[in-house]
Amino acid sequence: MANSGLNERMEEMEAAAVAQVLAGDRDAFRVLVDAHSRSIFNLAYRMTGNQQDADEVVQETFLRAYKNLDRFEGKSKFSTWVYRIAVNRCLDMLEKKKINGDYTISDDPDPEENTVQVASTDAGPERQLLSRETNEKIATAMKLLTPTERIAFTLRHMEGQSIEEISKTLKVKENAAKNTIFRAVKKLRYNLEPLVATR
Amino acid sequence: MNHLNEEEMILKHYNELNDAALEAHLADCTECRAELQRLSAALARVPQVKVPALPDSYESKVWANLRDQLPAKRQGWFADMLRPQKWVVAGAMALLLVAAFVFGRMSKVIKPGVNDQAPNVISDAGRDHIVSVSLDHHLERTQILLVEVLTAESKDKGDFADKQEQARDLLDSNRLYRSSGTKTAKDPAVQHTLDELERVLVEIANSPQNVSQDDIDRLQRSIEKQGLLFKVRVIDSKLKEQNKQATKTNGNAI
Repeated sequence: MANSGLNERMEEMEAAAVAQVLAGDRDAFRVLVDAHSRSIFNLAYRMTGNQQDADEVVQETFLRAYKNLDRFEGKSKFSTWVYRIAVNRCLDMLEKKKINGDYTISDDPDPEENTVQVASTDAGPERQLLSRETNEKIATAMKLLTPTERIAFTLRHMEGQSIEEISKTLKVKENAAKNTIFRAVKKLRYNLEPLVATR
Repeated sequence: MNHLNEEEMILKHYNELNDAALEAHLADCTECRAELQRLSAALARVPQVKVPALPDSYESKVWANLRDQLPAKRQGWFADMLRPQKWVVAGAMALLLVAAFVFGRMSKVIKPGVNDQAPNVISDAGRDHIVSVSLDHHLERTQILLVEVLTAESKDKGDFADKQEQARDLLDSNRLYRSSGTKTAKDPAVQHTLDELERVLVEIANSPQNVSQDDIDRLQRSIEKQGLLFKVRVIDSKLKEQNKQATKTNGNAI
């Protein structure tokens, strides 16, 4: 209850900030940057596996949001709209740099080489057992996903968004979002199940 | 009752099954529960990427880098077009066009001799009205196609071939409207939207015969990136209003 009140308040503040920016107050945009830059960075980092690229996605997302603010219809929440822009920037980044193909998992992340670290909260002792071969198989499985599948899967599996939220972020029907996630999970499962079987 | 299929298992794994009968089946069926466990175990292998901790000043840093890049806010042509004052001007323009059209028609009746010499001549306003009505139909068909592409999937290959065929047809008409030289077609907002539409129609029409999900995703992004569906809808509703006014005025005159 308290949360929904807070959310409503946030939405009101954001709507007011949007109106102020459209009326010519550039500094009012800061309210929107403060509210969303961290979560957009998290999404971008999960997608690109690279801090520099994630920072670039954050900057480009807000720049684009500012320039196109008069196209924001106010039918959806600002957060959904700006997330959609961020997702598109991530897709562009993935396609431009072919990050999908170079994405690897390591215990020692290196932003220059697109290696990322597995979260330590994910079964502590198990993490130490991730052999090089296992890491390679996971990376190979991730490579099989198309950029859209990877975005949808990341939003569902890592960001914990519901299918309904994902459909709004990707601006597709709920069934299309659902099917994209199904395809992603099936591909990953096909490749990762042998790892589970040999555990 | 049948066992849960893989897709229902995936929904269950993410707590989005929302089906009491299936939930009840799952509670009773050891086979399904074992299958769900296998799925969950496989998905547990997908790493949760650890995002680096950001400093408390992160937002300030983003703003500092961003602020100087932000141009002073100016309303774009699209928002500008939606301003009420613009609609008043557009309405006045439409009335003028309609008045010219009606005047042209009435002149035919008053001066039969002149019209006999040039039976096929239509006034500019009349021509504009005709183009405007058919452009409205064109945009309606285009909206249907864009929505279909936005919800398309590669498994519907046959359906997509139909969409490509439609795109080719619409592309031809789109080019005709762009080059028609009428007042409606020369409107910068209409021109701009028809230009963007042409690029997307070319992309749809020229997609590979065996269209892949990647191709479809790219097309969908291309449509979404430009906010094309929304633009087409606004232009179309503007034309509809304009045409409705024209027809009303014309009907009254006759």
